[in-house]
Amino acid sequence: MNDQEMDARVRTLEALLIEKGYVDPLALEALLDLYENRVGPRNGARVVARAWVDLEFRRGLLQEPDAAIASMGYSGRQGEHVVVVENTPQVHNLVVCTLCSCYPWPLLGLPPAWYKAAAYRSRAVIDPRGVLAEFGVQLAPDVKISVWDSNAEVRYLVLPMQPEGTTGWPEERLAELVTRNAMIGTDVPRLATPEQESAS
Amino acid sequence: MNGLHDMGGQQCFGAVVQEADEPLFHAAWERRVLALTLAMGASGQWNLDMSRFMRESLPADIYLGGSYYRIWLEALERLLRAHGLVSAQELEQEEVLEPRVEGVRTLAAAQVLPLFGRGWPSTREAAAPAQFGVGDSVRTVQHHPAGHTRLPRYARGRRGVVVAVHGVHVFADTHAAGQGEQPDWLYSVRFEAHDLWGEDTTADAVYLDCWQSYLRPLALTPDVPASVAEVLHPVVTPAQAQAALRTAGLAPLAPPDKMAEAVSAQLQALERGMSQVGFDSDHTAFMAALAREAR
Repeated sequence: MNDQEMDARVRTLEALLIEKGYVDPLALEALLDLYENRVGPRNGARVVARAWVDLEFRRGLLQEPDAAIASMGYSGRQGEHVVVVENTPQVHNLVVCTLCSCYPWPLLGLPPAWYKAAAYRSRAVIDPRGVLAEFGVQLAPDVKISVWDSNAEVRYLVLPMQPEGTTGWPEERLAELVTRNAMIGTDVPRLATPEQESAS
Repeated sequence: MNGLHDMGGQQCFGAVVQEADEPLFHAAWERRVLALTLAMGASGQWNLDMSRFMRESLPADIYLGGSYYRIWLEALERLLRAHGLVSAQELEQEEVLEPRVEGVRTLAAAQVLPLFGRGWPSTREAAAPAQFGVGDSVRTVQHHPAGHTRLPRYARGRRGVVVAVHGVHVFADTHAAGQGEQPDWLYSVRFEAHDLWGEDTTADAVYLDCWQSYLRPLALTPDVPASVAEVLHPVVTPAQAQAALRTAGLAPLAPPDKMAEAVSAQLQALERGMSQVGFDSDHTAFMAALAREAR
């Protein structure tokens, strides 16, 4: 089916559900507002940036993640039980859901298409280094890779390492360095090169 | 169910395709499918595990057909039909032909933020103590149920180590089958990548969340053969063995660094003990006999 046919098919379904009173059209708008405008990877980035600047918060985030995340005002569906895994110079963490598309919505928003697609779901658990290379991430050979397959109702967030040269930066500026992929494990936060800076 | 959804370890799907500046939705209909799926998910007619099972039961061409929202749509339509909320005829003729089913909760706009902002925690009160603790060696079950399971094929029958206890969670397998929540202990289990893939991996470890019923104790050390671990089950974790010995009024096992030695002695005793005391469900007596043999 092309998108036009799919549009028609879904419109029909929506109209039936509304007419039968199973769905409130305003609730649909409220749901879309929530997932289009209110949750997204900026939430997770703020959590990571705080963990970089506030050691006590970092400790809490690793030990009692749900409480620490809630203290920043984030909670909700597909993020009821969160575990934060910390990258170190020795270990890099990567998150996948091989069985479906489980993802920490309140912190990262809706997952990108590649996260739900077969290529990533199949290979992340067997060849994470190959997958990372496709994302342009080259880890030193002695860095170990831990893969977290979120197969139950626990959702995983990667706490990446703070880039060198950013000590003393304010939290808001640090948060800008934290990409969505860095919190999945398919990216590593880095300082933009001078060329990139001047291009942007 | 051994379905196409269980993708871990497949090598036929090529490279990961990323999209620069990817939009949240790739077509208008995807946006509506997200909202409809979430709204109907709050109708009380089915739960998330049932939705997942419906999605993984879809025909292969649909499951692998492209947009993940297509999977959601097809599963939603099937759930609606299965629960008698929208018939195939209604979808085809594009008109309401059957009366509304009573008792279906309609999500109100005002409920969206409070409900979705809190979510639906899957934790429940514990009814029994956890069988495993951090550091325990376990082996996953080798099963191929026709129904829903969250134990991927690549990790069945494999040994691992419990690294965290998540508490008691609704059990997806029964929840998906309409057999209730049957909450059970959930553990984070670390698998060494070479135990899953041999040499053919670039991972070092893979972690999975495993309900207790997915796990068997791997006897007292990671070196115990699976066949023996199965026999010992369920008196198999060090903590349990110690408790059994304590109950029987016997001396505790050696400290962890002496454990391997002690276990090896016990396993030798096991063969003799099996013939002497028989192997029945009274594991305390069995362990006591075993420990006596070992001395």
